[in-house]
Amino acid sequence: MEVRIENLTKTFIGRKGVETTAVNHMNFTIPDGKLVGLLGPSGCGKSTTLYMIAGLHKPTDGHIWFGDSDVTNLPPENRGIGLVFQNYALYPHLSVRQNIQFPLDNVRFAGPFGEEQNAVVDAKHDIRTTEHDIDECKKAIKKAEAAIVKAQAKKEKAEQREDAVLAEECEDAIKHAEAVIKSSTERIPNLEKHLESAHKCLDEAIVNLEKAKAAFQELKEKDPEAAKEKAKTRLSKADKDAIAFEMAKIVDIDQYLDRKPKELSGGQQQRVAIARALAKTPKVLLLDEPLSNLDARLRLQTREEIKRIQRETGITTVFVTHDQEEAMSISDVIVVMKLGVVQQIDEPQKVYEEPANLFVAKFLGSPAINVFDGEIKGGKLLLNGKVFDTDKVYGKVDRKVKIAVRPEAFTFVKKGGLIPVTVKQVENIGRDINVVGHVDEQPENHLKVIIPSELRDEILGKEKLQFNPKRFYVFEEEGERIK
Amino acid sequence: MAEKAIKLPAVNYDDIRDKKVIGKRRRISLPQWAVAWIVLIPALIFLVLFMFYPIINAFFMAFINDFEFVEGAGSFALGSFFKSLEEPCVNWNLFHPDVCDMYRRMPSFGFNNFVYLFQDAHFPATIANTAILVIVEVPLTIIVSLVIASFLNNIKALKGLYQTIFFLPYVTNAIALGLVFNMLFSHTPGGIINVIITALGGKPVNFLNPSAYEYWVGDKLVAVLPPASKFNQAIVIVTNSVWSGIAFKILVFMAGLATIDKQYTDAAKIDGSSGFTIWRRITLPLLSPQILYITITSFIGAFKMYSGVMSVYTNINGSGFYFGGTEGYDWMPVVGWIYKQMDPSSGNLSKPGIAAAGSLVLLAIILFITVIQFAVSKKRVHY
Amino acid sequence: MAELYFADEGALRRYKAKKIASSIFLYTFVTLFALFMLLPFVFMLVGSLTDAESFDEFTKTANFELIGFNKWSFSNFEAIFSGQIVNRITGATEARPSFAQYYLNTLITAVGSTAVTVVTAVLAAFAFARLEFKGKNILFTLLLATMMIPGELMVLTNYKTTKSLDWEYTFSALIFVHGVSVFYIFYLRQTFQQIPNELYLAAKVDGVGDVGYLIKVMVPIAMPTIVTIIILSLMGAWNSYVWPLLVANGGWKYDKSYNMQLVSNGLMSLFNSDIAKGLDAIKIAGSMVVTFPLFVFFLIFRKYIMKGVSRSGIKG
Repeated sequence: MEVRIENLTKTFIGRKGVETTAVNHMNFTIPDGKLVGLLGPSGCGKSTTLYMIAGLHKPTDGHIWFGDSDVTNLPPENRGIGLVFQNYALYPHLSVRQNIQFPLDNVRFAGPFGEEQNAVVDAKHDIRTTEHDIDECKKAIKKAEAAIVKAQAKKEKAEQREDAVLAEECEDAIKHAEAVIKSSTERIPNLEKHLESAHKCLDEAIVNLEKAKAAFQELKEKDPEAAKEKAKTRLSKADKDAIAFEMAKIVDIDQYLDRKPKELSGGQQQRVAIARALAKTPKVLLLDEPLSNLDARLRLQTREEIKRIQRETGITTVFVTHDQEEAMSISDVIVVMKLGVVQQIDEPQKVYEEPANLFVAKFLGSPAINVFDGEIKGGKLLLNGKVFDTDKVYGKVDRKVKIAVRPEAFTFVKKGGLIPVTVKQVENIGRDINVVGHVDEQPENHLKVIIPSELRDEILGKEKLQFNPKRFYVFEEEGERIK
Repeated sequence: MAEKAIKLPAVNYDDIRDKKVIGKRRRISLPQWAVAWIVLIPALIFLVLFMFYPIINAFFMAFINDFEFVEGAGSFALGSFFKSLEEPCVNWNLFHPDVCDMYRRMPSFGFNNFVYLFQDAHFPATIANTAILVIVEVPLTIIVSLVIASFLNNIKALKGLYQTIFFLPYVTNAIALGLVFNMLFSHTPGGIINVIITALGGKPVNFLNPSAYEYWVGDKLVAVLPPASKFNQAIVIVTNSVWSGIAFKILVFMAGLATIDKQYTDAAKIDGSSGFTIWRRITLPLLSPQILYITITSFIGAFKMYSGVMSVYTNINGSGFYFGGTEGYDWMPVVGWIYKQMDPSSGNLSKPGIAAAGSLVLLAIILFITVIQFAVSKKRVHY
Repeated sequence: MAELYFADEGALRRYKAKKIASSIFLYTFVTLFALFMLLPFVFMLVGSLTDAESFDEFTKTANFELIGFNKWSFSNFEAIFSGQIVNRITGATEARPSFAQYYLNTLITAVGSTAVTVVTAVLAAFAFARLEFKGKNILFTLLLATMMIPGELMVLTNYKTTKSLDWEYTFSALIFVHGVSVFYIFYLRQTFQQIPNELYLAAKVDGVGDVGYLIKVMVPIAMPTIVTIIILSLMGAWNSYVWPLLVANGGWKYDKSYNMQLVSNGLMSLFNSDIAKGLDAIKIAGSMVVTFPLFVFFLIFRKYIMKGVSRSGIKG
């Protein structure tokens, strides 16, 4: 199921009547069957967005589409979603089995001939509305005719008095009324046609219903068991048990079905929560910070587990996280948000390699991206007054800009590097070496460079080093990307 | 997509949707405020009728001079007020139906009921009685419970059994136990307390009986006991109330002690402090929230004492309004006095205005105590 | 406890001796006090099982041979439950209501008022804890304020209202007038508020409405609190005295020959009756009979009661 967010806005009214916009005119589309991570710092509106998709929060403006249907005003239980909460929200008084089965208690089927019955109801409704429309049209015609007569008389009077303005007004009124008559008369045959077909539909539906009833009666006599099966409007206990077992197997907790939630570890509780969310076979699975309550080791494991479950079930999944590593590692698509506004939507690698703005560049990657001050003068990009980029001609306006380089995107040069660095500290972390310091003349901009450990001897004990960037980004002071 | 697709259960989600389910099953969802008021209705009916309204009504009753209920005017005080304005006659002459034998005094608002209270021969004394009993009882009960709770906290074996024993008074009937206390403190030779006193070589004591008693053992007149003094009666009342009051307090203190981290006391032990020092310097301050809570609730509760005092006299006079002495007023508490004014045995409330005024005085005392205690406790309690 | 280390053997011995001495002191004190607590019960047991005349003799002579095991008799209980009291001292006999009748009346009242109280408390606490509506805070503050107000203030009007409603000498007066307890609403609301909000949202996603959530989730989770409320309410009804004395101290409205007194009032009228004069043992047996059911109840639900009372912090 494709999920489309259209112009979505949510404003909360606070205690003193102060409005805060949690989500601001958001637009994005979540492709069918993908695992999407909503990523952003806390307070960026990602949970609000998730709750709006779930139907727990009502948007102030905008629409949410599941496939072709607009679900904006649908209550949560009718949206076909499964939701996993940050603290799992398992019912403490119910066993694992009962927790998984809880959503199924409200599942209702149409019954033995519910489809047919619904068709009859729909047809009747259709007839009623069409008849109403025809009536309205006829009334409109009558009203317009009366208006014409009145306007005609008024017009004659006006002409006698040689009141050109009034006459023209009357003429306009007549024209308008005539237009109404024309459109209504044109509409009526269409409506009548529709009414006819609706009546046919109803007849057909009634016949179908009768047939279905007869068929069901027949079935009842022939095969009472099957009839019983067909007549059920709720899931039977056996069905529910089967579903619970199936779900438990998917998330690998089938051996704990009779335990209470508090007898399970955090990771197991998490699985139960996922199983419960899956039980109703949702079209969209929503996860709110699914890993934040787990310890580091379990987090890694569960992360993979979620990925596996999503792949195996193929359910469109949206999850919210503030942990960029988590988002990067399992998402098919990442939506980066800041203060209720989407910053970038793309595959994780793309978001990392081609950040849309300085915020995204800074938010993704660990250690964080290095940012230092540069300037554009005469279309040239300068760092500390020296030309930094020879390839590109920048705009004519001279201004200050930000240059950003990822820690791993530096190459060490012995001489003539573009980035002169003053070293504060060298950390040896096995495979790599971290050089911590700052770009010359910019002591306030903290810098971290990762270089392979073979270069250890070359840099050890030196206070000044020179680097060239493998890849770099240029942003406006306000954060907009230039290169 | 999935290499190894899992077969999900055969629930077709489209069937679950409400719109596919037959029309009449569609749920109507009410807004939350409507649900709230609907579920509040049962409680509100009772609250308004039997709580809010009586409270407001009590104020009217207290401030209508010499208020009395007028026959057929219902329970609303102003109803009686206006009815007596309309029909000032209480008694029509039997033989001359238009001659009134007795007129009602014209109703008016004022402080007559309160004036009556403080001119009454007994009401001011009931306040004093209650205050004395409260001041003795409450601290004594709290100290005893605190000591026992601390002791119980320091033992391991049989702790549960002791806890159960000390809790028993909580589930006993006050009137039933009052009788037992009366008999234990009986002035007769069979009174267990007197048996103990005489066995220890003391003179027998008349604890409760309002008349003098010749104390015979066999054929020997041991003593002529004078009528029970107020002090002797108070011993029984206080013993009874301590006995029945400690159950709850021990429980609350034990619960409080259980929450105190062992680290604090262990740390003090390593410093070489003695058990009593630890108790006084560490346990007590950490228990101060519970002590405050108990103190406030006990003072308020104790000022409403009635059946605890009344019950020890039931074997002497079981009218429910006898509180010792020849007149029955020796230790009458405020609530006892209020009930006596109502005099339910008459089938009507005889002095409702005065009883209401008395209740308002009681309310004022309770509010006063509460305010004082909160003011004092702000400085004293460690949280 | 942290392990303590001692400089030498002597210090260790002194420490141990001190510990033993202190625990001897603790146990002695606690045991003596426990005996004081148990004394009334022992007296009640012995007195109620002693023949009435023997007991009367005992009160005059303090001859302990007259009471206890050698004079073991169930005659007092027979009198209490049959209602046929024979005063062999004065030679009078009287047929009084059986205590079984008082039991029944009290049970009806206790169960009825508990049911009403619990239902109103659960619903109201649900509204205060879970639902948003205008005036919620004002109403709740108003409720809390009433907890301060002494019951005597309300008794007057309630008595009159009961008369106006024509409820005198009916169980309605006993059950409905105290059909709501602000304290229980408050207590339950606190329990309800501890249930995380996510459970509510989860239930909403599963298609469970507000009332469904109350029944399916909140009530089961708050069950320990509700059980506590039920127990405290039952106990309160069992021990109630003043209100029943005012409105139902006699025959039932619809059948005056049916005595509708509750246990406390029945006991009190036994104490006051002429026939029981001098029959202290029978009075004690009456007290025993009133106390005993609650004892059994307490021993069965000991954990619930003690936990509930210490958490709720009220006197039932």
